[in-house]
Amino acid sequence: MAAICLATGGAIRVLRRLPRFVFLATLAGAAGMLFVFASTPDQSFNLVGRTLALDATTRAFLLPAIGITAALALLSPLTFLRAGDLPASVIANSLGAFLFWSLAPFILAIALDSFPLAVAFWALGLLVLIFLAQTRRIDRVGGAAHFLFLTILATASLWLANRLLELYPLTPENLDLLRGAVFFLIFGSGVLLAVVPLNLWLGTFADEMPLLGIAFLLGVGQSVGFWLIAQLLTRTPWLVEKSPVLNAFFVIGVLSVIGGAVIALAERRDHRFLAALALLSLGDVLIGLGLGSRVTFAGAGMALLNRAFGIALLSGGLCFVRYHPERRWQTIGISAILAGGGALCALPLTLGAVARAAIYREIPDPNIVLALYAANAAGLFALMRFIAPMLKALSGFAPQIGADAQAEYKIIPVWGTVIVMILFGAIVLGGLAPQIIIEPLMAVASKMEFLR
Amino acid sequence: MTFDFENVFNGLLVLLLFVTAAALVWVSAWRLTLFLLLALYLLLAAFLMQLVAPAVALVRVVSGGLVALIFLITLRGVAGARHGGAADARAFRAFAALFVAICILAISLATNFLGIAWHIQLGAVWLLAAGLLIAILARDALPFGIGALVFTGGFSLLEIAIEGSLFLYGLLNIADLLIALVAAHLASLGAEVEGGRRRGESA
Repeated sequence: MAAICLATGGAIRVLRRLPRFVFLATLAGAAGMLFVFASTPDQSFNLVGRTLALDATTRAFLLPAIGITAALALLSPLTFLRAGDLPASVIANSLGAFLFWSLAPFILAIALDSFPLAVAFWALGLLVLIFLAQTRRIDRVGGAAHFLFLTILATASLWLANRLLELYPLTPENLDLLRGAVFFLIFGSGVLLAVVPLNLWLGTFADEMPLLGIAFLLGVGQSVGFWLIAQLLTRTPWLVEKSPVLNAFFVIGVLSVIGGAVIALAERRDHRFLAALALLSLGDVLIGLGLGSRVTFAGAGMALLNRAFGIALLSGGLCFVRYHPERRWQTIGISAILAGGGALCALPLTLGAVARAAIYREIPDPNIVLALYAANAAGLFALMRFIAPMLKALSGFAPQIGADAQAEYKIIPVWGTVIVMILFGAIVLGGLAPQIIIEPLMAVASKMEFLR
Repeated sequence: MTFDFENVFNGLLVLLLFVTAAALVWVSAWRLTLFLLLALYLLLAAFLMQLVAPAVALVRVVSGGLVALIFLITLRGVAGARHGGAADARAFRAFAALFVAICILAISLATNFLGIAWHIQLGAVWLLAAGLLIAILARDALPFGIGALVFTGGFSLLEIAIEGSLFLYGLLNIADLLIALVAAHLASLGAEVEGGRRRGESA
């Protein structure tokens, strides 16, 4: 699968001047990966002395990751810039290539049975993503460079946490090792998941990234981080009993929901707004993990899935609105933004609403629940404020044709609309028939010993 | 700590590492910076030879050479590249490096982390701190990347000392190349924006 990822990325890069062929190459790559995914046996296998597993748990996580990456790559021709040799247009037109190249190490990170190696591959995937960034000012270090260093810092922290956790059972009386491990774990995962208040880097980095690039980081990259934390806790179930690590995740989850709503209320820029709104559902995911029961963990899994779909839908909608000025594409774009934003705010009929119901009912303090619902309402208000200028602009548009409608490739927005509709359908289907997702998630949760 | 030949040799290695990394914080000339970076990788290999087989340790020198080559090629394409700030900030840089070095010395000699040999711990922690310092003081992507590489150099030493995984060591060397490529990419990419805004971006 990793090899297909790399090959698909290469094909997209070569075909970058022909958006229709980029779309088809992406489709072929995604189909190839799904074929390999379906035909690979469940048994673990060795690769240069390391075990890679593609069991049911890994598959439950890997399939959405591939799906969201493919969806974002399929939406990337929407942002096509007239072929040129300028770095901006080269990067914009081969955006899907970088998404697939980034996914390849993520797949290894998900499938590997070794935490430090998985973290290393996760970091490599994130580093590949930085190639999409475009520096905004040449006279100072930008958000992309900061992200580079923070990725290294966080990776180092997670490695140290893992090593301390390996050593602790040898000297159980030495609680300093445990404390150190928890500090490193919370710092390392908190930085890369960009939880409040460790999300300070995300705004400037988002400014320098293309919209679909930041959507991939939030929807897929951060989800891999959550997976790695869950895997580490599964291998060290005693950590939950001997340290307040789950309480820490619960607290930063609550802070992220509230902080995300506050930031989203103040934000008007597309990339930053997307990052802020995504914090709401990330908070739900961390609360679900922090509560430490199987039901809330399944809720966290649903929230994670809903978040990835919502982010893809919202970013796809913004691509329509910002790049395709024709009225019908503006309408599709605004609808997608509403649907994606609604999913991130966990509106009823979405998978997020089911996830939130499963998680919030186990929060012992009703005041916290009230604060979380208020934050979600504020996030919804922020979404309405964000799309208000778009709706206003839509009413002033000429009904038939926009500024550069003659120049664009007509078929690309049509295909993009199909992708958006599939994403929307998945979110609503998940909300209407959550048992399709709950059952495999509960099966995953039942294997995790650290959960109640 | 006993003052036998081995300790004197290790002390000399640590001293050279301190001087090299401090010089990386201080200098602004690019040719000298790349030379110092190469010297740093050589010293890292000398440290690593005490933990892994010499052939394995020399991989660090190979990756260091490739990193320097990436930076050299990038520098030819980037006009007016500079290392961090103006020359008048050198005094501040020198004092900052000195203060950090004294703190690292005081703390590392007083405490031991997971039973690592004193010179490995001192060298690794100093490189971690020097890497952070270089990155904090940097104003361009290239010196920032050098800071990141110095940091990973220190961390690779620490990681090999406490974990000893050759797979991770290999990945760290690959990561070094990737970090150099990313830094070179960010440095060579002009601020190609239309009036401070990209196409399709709202106000």
